[in-house]
Amino acid sequence: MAVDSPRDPAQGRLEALLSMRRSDGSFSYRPGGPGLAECTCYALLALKSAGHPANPAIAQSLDWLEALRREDGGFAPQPSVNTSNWVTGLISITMGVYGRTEPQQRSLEWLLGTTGAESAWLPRFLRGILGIETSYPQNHTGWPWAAGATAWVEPTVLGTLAMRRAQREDRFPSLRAQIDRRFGEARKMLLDRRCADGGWNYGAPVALEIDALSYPETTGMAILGLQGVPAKAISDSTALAQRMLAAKPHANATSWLQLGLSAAGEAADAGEEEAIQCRNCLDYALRVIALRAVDGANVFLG
Amino acid sequence: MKDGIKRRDWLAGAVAAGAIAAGTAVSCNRAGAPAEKPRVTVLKSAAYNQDLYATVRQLLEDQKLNVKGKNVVLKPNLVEFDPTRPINTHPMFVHAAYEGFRALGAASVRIAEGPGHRRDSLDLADAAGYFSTIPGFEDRFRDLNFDAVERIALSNPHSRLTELYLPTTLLGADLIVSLAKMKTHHWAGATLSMKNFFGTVPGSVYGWPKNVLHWAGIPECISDLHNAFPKHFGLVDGIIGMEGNGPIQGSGKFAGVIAGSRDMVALDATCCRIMGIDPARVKYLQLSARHGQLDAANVAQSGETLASVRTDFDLFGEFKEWRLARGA
Repeated sequence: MAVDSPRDPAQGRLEALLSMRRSDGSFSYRPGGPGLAECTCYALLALKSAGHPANPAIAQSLDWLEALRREDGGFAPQPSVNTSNWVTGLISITMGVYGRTEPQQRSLEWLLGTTGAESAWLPRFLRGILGIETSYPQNHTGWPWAAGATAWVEPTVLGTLAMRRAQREDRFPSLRAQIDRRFGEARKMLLDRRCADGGWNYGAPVALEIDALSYPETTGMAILGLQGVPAKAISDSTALAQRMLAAKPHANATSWLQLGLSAAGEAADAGEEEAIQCRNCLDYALRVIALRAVDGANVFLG
Repeated sequence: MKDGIKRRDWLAGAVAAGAIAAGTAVSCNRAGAPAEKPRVTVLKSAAYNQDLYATVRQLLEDQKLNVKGKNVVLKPNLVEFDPTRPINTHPMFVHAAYEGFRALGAASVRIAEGPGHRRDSLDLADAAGYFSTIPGFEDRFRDLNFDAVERIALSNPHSRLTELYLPTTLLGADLIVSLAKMKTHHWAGATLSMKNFFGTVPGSVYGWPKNVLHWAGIPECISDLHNAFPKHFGLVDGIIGMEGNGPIQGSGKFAGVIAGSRDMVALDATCCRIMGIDPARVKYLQLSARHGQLDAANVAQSGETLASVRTDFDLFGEFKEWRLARGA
């Protein structure tokens, strides 16, 4: 059927996204795949961005996410997994956006008790007391993908955004001091992990004394996580992000660059929406979220 | 069962399961030593062109694989795209393997990968030429980072890991084919068919990269993953490999060779010799070699001789000391 009238580009993305909703309320990465916490969170954040009112389907998706809570208070990435991991930061944001206070609090408590392995006492002792040098600063605390691993950019950005939301809502006075401390620490860590060109790699800025490459998606994410720092402090980062966006990267990178640049108060034009190819649930959800953010409604910051 | 661990006998039957999957004549004595030397096929292949299809078929025939009616999963090494560097298993090599296994009568042949740091696997595959080279690629591909997973207990692990969540696409396969790229590796020395299994570990559980494996010990985890998927076969794309600061930032190196074997330890040891690396220095091979496969005398090498294909790859940093002596 031909459609002649101009259409909200986000609406088409949303329709494709909803085709990946499963009967249990979860969302899969691709049609026919398993329900995943990450996909379900971004889908819910896209629905919120698009202004969808609360309804039983959304409640079912939130319930599905809540059922992923594990004994330690954190959340698992899918039902068959018994351990909590990085999705806890994303679920914390989602629960906060939808006003589910209790799971949000549990997720915050888990995040406050979780650090990258480099922040454990032994590595700190080796660096601080014995003066063992590392190839990049490791004095500030972020979040790892999984327990027992190093803090990396993406989970740290998600943790930062979870802390930010909790700060704004001020629903958790007993946790406030810890939340403020981890928020500040994580942002310092992100600044420490910046690559020589001003962007961000997935992890460290240097590997084996060789500068690591920056990537558009992590650069966009990190700029979003640093929202509110003085523009001068990240001017080379936003300049790089603009160049990356102008190069028309894939959908995921385009979305994160737009989210970061719009959070930094900069224009974030990605050109014709139809030219951006989406291939999975995350692509579709992030396109909706980014399009709304460019219009001034960033679900991560609102 | 407590904690839901499914205690599949993945490890005890490792060699036997591989033999069943491949329908081969490999048998073991009671002590676990193979009754015959592992066979590694090494063939010259001058370029990524139509001749490669016949060469791959020749290799599979030499290996006497029987995959009739089996479900085969091809696991390429899809890492990152840079038009100036041969980082990934070449798409034509993947397609040649796909066609080869189909021709052998496999019931299904799928392609699956879980890149270590790139989130957008399909975009990466598109950039790397998989879409344009492999008809219907998108429908044949499964992103292991987002697959359903099952918890598998690791029996007698070398690493400190006791269990791993692994993709059901692979656990349900009759044969997993590691389609590796011949590259040096700045942490492990060389990345070949065994190291390629790092991409089987799902990012949704362990992240991008799978940093848990680094903390648990890279060589140890390579060995554990090799054991976790006993129904395996290795095929190495060594036509243009990577030397120096691999697996991403190194330089292209023409070696003009492909190699394959059911015994991935013997295969990787052979590829190391081709690259001018002493396999006895490679820790994950040390950990995994149960039948003396690191010694060329214990490997039945068919096709090319080592002398005719040896191409010394530039080695990175401390790995320069791993150079295999000429004539060894």
